[in-house]
Amino acid sequence: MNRVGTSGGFESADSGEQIDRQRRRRKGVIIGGLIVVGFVGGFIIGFTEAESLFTGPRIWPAPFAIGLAFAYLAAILGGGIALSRQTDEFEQLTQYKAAAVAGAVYLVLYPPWFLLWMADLVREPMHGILFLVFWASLALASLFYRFR
Amino acid sequence: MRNRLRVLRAERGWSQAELGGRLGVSRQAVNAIETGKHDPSLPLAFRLSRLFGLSIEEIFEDEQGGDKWRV
Repeated sequence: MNRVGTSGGFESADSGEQIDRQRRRRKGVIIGGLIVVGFVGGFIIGFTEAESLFTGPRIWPAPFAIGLAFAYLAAILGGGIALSRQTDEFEQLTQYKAAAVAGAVYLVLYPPWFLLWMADLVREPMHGILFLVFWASLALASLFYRFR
Repeated sequence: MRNRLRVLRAERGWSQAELGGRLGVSRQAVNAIETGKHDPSLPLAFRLSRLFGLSIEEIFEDEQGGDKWRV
């Protein structure tokens, strides 16, 4: 059992290494849960609606779309809150910087794409691509700031 | 910001994970502070100060010097 001690850190019957292991285990469980949700969601979409992802015009059944949207929101909000409770100031700062980089990438990418599309020079901006680029930028920047 | 954290930790025979656990931060955070890549917040600096029984100035060194900010 942990408690905040006179040093302001954690005092416990466990050693610091045990506390660190427990913290990493809790983070691993949360991240593992998010991966499972993402995998299951991706599998369901791939199994049932893979063709419509590329052909486009087919409309998904409403309960299917609503269910997936709820699963995504629950995972991203619940996982975000749970992870933030296990995150220290260095990890938070890393995530803030990474989010700033990803936001900057979006700001650089989308407006010119939109403006060029208005002149019919390029195809219409694709939200899926922008979303993936945002997440890829976030992941790469996060790795860079964490391990540089 | 330079600091004596690595030396103080080694004197006690603690690993980075051990110190991180005692402070309530990750091993990566301890490493980032030791290598000067991350300046700890004031609350974390005070936790370090209490844990080692030293003042903050005895752990961290202001590379710019104190005179710069004097008026």
